[in-house]
Amino acid sequence: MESVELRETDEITERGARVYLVTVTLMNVSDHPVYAASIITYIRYADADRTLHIGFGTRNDADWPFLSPPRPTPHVEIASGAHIAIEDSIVSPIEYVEETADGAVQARTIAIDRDVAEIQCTVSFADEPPPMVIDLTSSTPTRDIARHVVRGTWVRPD
Amino acid sequence: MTLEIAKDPTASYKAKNVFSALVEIARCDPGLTTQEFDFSFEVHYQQGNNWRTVASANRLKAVVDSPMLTTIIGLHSDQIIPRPGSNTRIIEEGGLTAPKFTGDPGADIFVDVDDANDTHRLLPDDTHNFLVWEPLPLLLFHELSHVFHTFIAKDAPQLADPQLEQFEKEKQVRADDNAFRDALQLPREHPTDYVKVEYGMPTRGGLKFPNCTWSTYGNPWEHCKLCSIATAALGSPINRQIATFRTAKRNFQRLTLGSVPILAPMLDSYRLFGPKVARAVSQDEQLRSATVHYGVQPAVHLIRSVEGYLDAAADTGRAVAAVDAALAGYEAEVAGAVTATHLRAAADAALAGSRALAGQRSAAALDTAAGLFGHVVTSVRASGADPDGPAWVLAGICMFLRAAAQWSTGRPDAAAQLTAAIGAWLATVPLPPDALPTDGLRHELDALRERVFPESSNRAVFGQRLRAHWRAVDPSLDRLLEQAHFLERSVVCQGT
Repeated sequence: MESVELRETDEITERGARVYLVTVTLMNVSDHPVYAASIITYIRYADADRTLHIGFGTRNDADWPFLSPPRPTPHVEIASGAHIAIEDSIVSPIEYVEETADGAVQARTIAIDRDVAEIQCTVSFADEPPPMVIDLTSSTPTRDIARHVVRGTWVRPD
Repeated sequence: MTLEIAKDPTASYKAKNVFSALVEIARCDPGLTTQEFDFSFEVHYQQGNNWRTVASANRLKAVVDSPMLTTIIGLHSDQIIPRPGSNTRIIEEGGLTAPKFTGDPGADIFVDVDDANDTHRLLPDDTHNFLVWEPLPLLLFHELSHVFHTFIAKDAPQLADPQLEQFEKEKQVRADDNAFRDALQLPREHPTDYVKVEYGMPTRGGLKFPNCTWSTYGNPWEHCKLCSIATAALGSPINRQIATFRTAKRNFQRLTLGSVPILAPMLDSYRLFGPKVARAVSQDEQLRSATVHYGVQPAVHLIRSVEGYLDAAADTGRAVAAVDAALAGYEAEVAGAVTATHLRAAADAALAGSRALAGQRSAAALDTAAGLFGHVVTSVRASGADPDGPAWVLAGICMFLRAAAQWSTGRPDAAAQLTAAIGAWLATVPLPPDALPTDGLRHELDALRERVFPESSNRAVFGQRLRAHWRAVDPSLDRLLEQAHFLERSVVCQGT
């Protein structure tokens, strides 16, 4: 990963939340094409270091308790030696729930401009094109596609 | 009771949208009610006899009657699913169901109540060549089916591999979805292809959902503040002006053309764009005030003018007197708040909005369709609503505001001019796009002649429009229009 950028836009959602663009620039240094996830599928905030963890195509199966399977994530092909920028939006404030030390669940709200000092981005990529359509009649699980991740960081300028 | 809707104290519309979707699933069975508590609404369902053969209503009844608690949590599109460790935004999934994280056994249903930020959530159809809309009632029905099969009927597939088990469960629920779609005569979704959610305009079936007929009984959100633009603007659903809208809707909703309600182009569009405008109105005092003075009150008095015109049944003197009374009523309500200049400017903005929606857009028109009418134009476009109905309504408001400006400056012929304009305006009412000539057309035309088109000149305009609209479909239409007095014999002869 070459760079991670966070850009505040003028766009405000109907709920009054500010829209931010997260842009990740990647370069394929391998000798074959790779397929990088192109949308944000994971957001987590760490209080201790005021870091927002953003994942493109990363998702921990253990964190997927739902009855429906996760949907296929769109990917972009990056040719060998090529650079590419992938971009997706997030909104602030971010509302989420977390489990406290005593096992309780509490709602949290953070604002990017107030609470986030750093963004750590993780992008999932595969050596072969991931399926864009999951055939529910398939007898082969799809999670076995070889995946790798790259990481990059945006730090709030002083 | 074992079904509840979670409350969000900062966004009450979420629970309202969820309940509205449940009403659609129950197909407006008045036995569906709620009871409000501090953190939730309990859903109660005493199923009516007429609904016991409705499969979707039975599915809902089974969930309500189950001893296991199910909670429906409505989320706005960008909201992260409120579950520890699950950092997925609901817009990416639309809806999800999971066993409860804490407490007694149960299920949580998370649904996007904003239709992907009003960009419209789409799925591939059963051919995978087109995209069909998945509105909230279908989305919620899908999740209720998950609850039903997994926790209540316990007939959901169980496999050693958790992912393959998810696939099988999804297939099972898709079959239920398509049964519901069949019942609603909506295009089917693909039974086995599972793809990333897409957003935009459907390429099959349009943005249509066959809403059941609302019953006020048992619906605590029937009069909510964000249900309509007028309620949001006036701040109270029991305002007498809102009663005018309801009465007009009741009086005209039985008039049909080609078996489709004549009000359908307006009401179908309004369902899509109205909440967006209402939301904006409720959050902006200046916009709210403009909406009252230049949108709601003119619309109320336009309706009264139209009713007076129609009640007069081609008695011009009576019609002008009724319209004059409506103009006087409007001026009395806005006295001191608006001037003739304001009214003319608002009329120009309404006309610009109407033209923008009707596709006669110019740069000048866009510039002047500001404020309230600019919001309407933007919301109609963003919602994907058919613009013909809103364009016609804005043209009517423009007509009324211009007459009101004239009336306020003492022009003696203002009421007479508006009376003449009303008939001409009614003759341009948008034709329901789905309407086709049916066996009942003659009866429909007779009703329209008696109720809406007392004057032959306006009937002729409307008849010509029907002729242009349907002639290719039904060559015998001219004869029917002539018999119903919508075409003069000479016109028919010219065409033959």
